[in-house]
Amino acid sequence: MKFQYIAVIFVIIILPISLVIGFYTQSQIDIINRQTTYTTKLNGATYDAVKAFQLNTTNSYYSSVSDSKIRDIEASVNTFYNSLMASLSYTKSELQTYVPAIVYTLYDGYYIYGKRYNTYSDTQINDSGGLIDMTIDTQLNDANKYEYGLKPFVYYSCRYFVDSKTDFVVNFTLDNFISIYGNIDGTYESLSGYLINVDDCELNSENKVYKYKGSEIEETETLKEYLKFNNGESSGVRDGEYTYVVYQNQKIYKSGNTYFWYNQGTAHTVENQEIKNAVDRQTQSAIDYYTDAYNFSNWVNDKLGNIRQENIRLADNSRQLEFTATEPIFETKNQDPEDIASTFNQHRTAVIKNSIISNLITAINSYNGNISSYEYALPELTEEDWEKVVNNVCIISFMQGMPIGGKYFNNYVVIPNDKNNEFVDVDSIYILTSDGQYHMPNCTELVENSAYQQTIVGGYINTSFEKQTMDGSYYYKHVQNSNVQMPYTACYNCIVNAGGKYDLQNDIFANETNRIGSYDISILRNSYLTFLAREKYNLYKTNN
Amino acid sequence: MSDSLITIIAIFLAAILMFIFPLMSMADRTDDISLLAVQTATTEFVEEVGTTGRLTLDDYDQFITTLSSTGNSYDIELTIKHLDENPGVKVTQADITKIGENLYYNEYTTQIEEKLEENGRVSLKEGDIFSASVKNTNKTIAEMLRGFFYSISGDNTYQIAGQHSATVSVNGSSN
Repeated sequence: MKFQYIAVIFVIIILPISLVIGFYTQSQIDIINRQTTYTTKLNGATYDAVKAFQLNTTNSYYSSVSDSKIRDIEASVNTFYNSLMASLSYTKSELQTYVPAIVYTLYDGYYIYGKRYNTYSDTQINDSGGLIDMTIDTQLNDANKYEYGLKPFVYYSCRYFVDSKTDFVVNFTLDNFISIYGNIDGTYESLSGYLINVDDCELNSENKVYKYKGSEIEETETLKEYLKFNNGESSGVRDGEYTYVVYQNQKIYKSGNTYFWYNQGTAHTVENQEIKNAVDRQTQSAIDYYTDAYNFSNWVNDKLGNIRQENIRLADNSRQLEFTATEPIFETKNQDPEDIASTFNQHRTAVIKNSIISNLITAINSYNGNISSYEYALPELTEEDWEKVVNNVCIISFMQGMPIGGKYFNNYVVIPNDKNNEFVDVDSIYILTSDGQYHMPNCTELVENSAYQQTIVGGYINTSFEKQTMDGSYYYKHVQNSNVQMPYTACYNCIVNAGGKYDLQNDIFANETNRIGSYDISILRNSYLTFLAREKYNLYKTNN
Repeated sequence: MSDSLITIIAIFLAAILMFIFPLMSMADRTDDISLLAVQTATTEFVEEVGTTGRLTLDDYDQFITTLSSTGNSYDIELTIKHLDENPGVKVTQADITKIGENLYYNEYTTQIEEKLEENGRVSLKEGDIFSASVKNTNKTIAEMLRGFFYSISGDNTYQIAGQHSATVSVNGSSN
C-alpha cells in the first residue's frame, strides 16, 4: 500500500478521535468552570446573608431574644435568595428546589431553614368560640402543608445518665458557657455559667477572684459611650459621651443627676434608686464574671467531676457509640476548659458536630425537590470548615441538584460571622489607647512597648466600633473627643494590616508568665482579661 | 521523476499528519488540562483565603506544589488590598458621615512572602481584597510547536494562566 493511502486511513481514524477528545475535554472544562462560578456565587450570596444578619443583629441589643432573632434570620434568608437570584437569573421558587438547607449556627444552638411540614391544626377556634375548618379557609391541605421556613431551634445538648438519681442534660455553647438541668444526686437542678480552671483563680478576703491566670483583674471600670439623640436632645439629655453600667441586661447611662436608658434616639429616664446606686458604684462585671465562674466551676467539679463520655445516653436510653473516651469531661481542677485541647472542649466540639450532622442528614435526605433524578445527600464537610462551625456563629448553605451540563452541582459554603452580639470570642475585644487608636490585644506595638501599654484607656467588644446610624447621619460609639465626635481609629499595625506576629490564644490569653521573650505584657494582659470578662458578663443571654 | 517528487511530498505530508498533528493535538489537550488545573487551584486557594481570612505558609506551599504538578514553571503574583476605613485618613477634611470613600493600600508578592516566612501566616480582615494571578514562564510543548510552525514568539506570550480575586468575608483568627 502506498504511503498516501496509509496517511489517509490514519487521518480517517485519528481525526474523529482527536475531535471527540477535544470536545470532551472542552465540555469537562466548561463543567468545572461552571462549578467554580456557581461556588463563587453561592459564596457571595452566603456572605450577603451573613452581612444582613450582622447589620440586623448588631444594631439591636435584644437581637438574641428569640422572636427578634427569627425575624433577623428570615430577613437574612431573603437576602441570600435575592443575591442568588440576581447573580444566577433564577426565580426564588426555582432556587428553593436547589437549596435543601441553610443552617444558622448560633451561640447555643442552630436553626435549619428548609422545607418543613406545617403542623398547624386543621381546626382553629374563632373569637366566638366556634370552630373554623382551616383546610377550607386557607387551603391548608396536606400537599401544601409543606412549606419553606425555619425548623425548630436545636440546642447543642447532650444527656448524661449515671443512675436513676443522676440523669441530666447539658446545653453547650460556642465557648465555655454551659447550662445544666435535670436530676443530680436526687435533686432537680437548673444552673448555667462559665467553666474556668479553678486552679488559675486567686481569691481576696471577700472571696472574690482578683487574679486569674496570673493577671490582676481591674476592680472597677468606667465605661463610656457616645450617644446621639433625635433632634440632638431627649429628656433634657444632649448628644454626648456618657458613662454607663449594664444593670439586669440593660445599659443605664448617667448624665449629671439624670439616669436613663437609650432606645433608638430617645432617652428614657430612670427613677429607681437601686438602679441609680448601681450606676454610681460603677461596673465590677469583670470581677463578678470570674467569681461567678469560679463558684460555678467548683460546683460542677464537685457534682459532675466523674461524668465521662460513656455516661452519654440517647432519649431511648441507648448508648451513643461515637462517644467512647474515658476522661472526665467536666473536671475543672486539673484541666482548663478554655484550652482548645482540653477534654471539655473536644467533647463540646464532638457534641456540636454530632448534633448538626444528624439533623442535617435528616433535613437533606428527606428533601423532595422537583428534580426526581437527583438524590439529595449531605456532602462531607472538611475539618477546616468544622473548625469554623464549632467556634463561630456561622451560616452553612447547601446547593445541590442544579444541572451544569452532564453533571449536577453539589457544594456547600461555610461563612463565619465574627461581628455579632451572640457571644464574645477571645478575638473580639479591641483595646483603646489614649493616642486615639484601637488595637487587637496581640498588636505588635502594644506587646513590644510596655510604656505604650500604660496608655490603655479601655476596651470593648468589636461590634461597638461599628458605624451607627441616626436620622440619616452616622456616628461612632467610642470617641476620643466628644466635642468634635472624632472617633478612635484602627491601628495600622494590627487591625488595618493584621500582623500575625503574636498568637492571641497562646501568647496573650493562656500565657501565665506575663512575658513574651523579653517583653513585659502584664499591663496588656490585665486589661485584656478584664475587658474580655466584662463583655462576657454584660452580654444579653436568654438562658442566664 | 514526477512520481518520486510526489512520493517525497507524500512522505512529508504523512510525517506531518502522523506525528506532528497528533503531537500538537495532544500537547494542546495537555495544556487545556494544565489550564484547568491551574484555574481550579487558583480559585480554591483564593476562596479559601477569602472565607477564612488567613493566608498560611502551608496553604501557599500546597498551592505551589499543585501548580508544579502540572509540569510547568509559573510566575505567581499575589496582591492584598488592605481596606482602610479610618475616617479622617482618607480625606484631608475629616468627614465621618461619608461612606464609600474607603482607601485600599496594597501589598505585593515579595512583601507577602516575607511576612509568610517570618510569621508563617498573614491575617486579613473583613473587606480586604486578596487576589492571585498565575502565568506559566516556561514554553510548553504546544507553544514550541506552534512557534515552530506559525512562528509566534515574544517574551510575553503565555499559554496557561489563572487568576482569581476574593473579598475577605471574615476577620482572620489571630491564633
